[in-house]
Amino acid sequence: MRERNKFVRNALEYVPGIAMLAVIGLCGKYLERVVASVLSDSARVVSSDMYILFAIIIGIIVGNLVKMPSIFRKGIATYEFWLKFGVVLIGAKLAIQELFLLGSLGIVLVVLEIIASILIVRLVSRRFRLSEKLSSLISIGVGICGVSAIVGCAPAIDAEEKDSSYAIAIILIFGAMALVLYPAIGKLLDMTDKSFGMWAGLAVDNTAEAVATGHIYSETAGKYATMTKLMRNALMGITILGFAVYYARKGLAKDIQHKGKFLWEKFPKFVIGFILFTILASIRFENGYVLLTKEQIGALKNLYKWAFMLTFAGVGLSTSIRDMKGTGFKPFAVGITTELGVGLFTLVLIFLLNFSGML
Amino acid sequence: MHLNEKEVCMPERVHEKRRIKRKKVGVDWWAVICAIVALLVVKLGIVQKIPW
Repeated sequence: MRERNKFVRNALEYVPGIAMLAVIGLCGKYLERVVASVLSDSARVVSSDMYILFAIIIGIIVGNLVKMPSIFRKGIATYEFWLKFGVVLIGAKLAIQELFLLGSLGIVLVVLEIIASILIVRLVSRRFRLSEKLSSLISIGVGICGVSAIVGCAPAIDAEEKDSSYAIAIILIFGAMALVLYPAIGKLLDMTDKSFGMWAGLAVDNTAEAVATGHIYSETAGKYATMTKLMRNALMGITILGFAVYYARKGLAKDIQHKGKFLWEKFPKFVIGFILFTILASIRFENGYVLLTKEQIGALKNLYKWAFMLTFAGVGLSTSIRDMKGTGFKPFAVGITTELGVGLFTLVLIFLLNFSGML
Repeated sequence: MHLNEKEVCMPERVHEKRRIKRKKVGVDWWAVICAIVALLVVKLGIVQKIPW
């Protein structure tokens, strides 16, 4: 009985924050309708998932202007859960053939992108005389998975807390900028949904921002951005392990004893859920029976939109402009050069694939 | 004295072990579990339409 009361009390602590996410998200959804009705449809300025951008903007405004009482903190922090929950559900929108087809191509692109990020950061860091560990954190953040990769890598390479904060701030600054800049560049270059989605998945650092950038462009682009980004996430463990082994050999970090266990710990498990949902949605028996009908997939699609609404309200609320301002000039300069370099490199890759007819 | 210390420490250690054990279900797995529950709810027709 006491245990149950404790459980209920714990669960109730999340309610105010989640309610706050819902209010901000609904404001974003309402604003999307207002903007869509004001602007002409033919201009295709507003994608169907523009609520994401509005939820983030409202979240940033509220989060930075109002000092949030501690009662909301636990609930607001659940945005990571809503993101992963939404991403797993997106899996139902994909066909397994599509996943295989894009998977083989995507993995090559992701590996090239990671190598390019590491090389560019190394080069630029040397020029700006940034510490090796900070440059490693920035390259892993830009190359793979933004904040979670930095958080996962920092203890493995024995980095200082200050370095992690700098690297995280850089990822968040450029993630926020990508939300607005990337869709604008995509429209300017008249990119297809698929090309843009893959570019966003390759070039935008944080999972939340990559998924958001894709969806701001279009729903289809969002699907491809999610898929490409998940491939980068899946390679997180192996890249962190690479850095850890490198620093251990130099005597600057502890050696990792159980490498297999380490890889499993760093593997993002929700990717398994995403693949599972793609498989379930693709099951079609010979007599025409499908495991999930179009209507059921439609219902799951709407559910992920609700989840994303909460996610991006949380992303906005957790974006602290003050923390971003604290980033030093050198890390910022390295960040901007790397982001430009990686963005351009991946854009060229996508265009080359387009011209060769592989996309 | 030594025994008393052990007695006092034991429940704390058990509690700590349980806490670590419970911590193992991370946010990733919770997301997968909840998504599967949502899928079952839709598949079984408990909820047929989710408006947006």
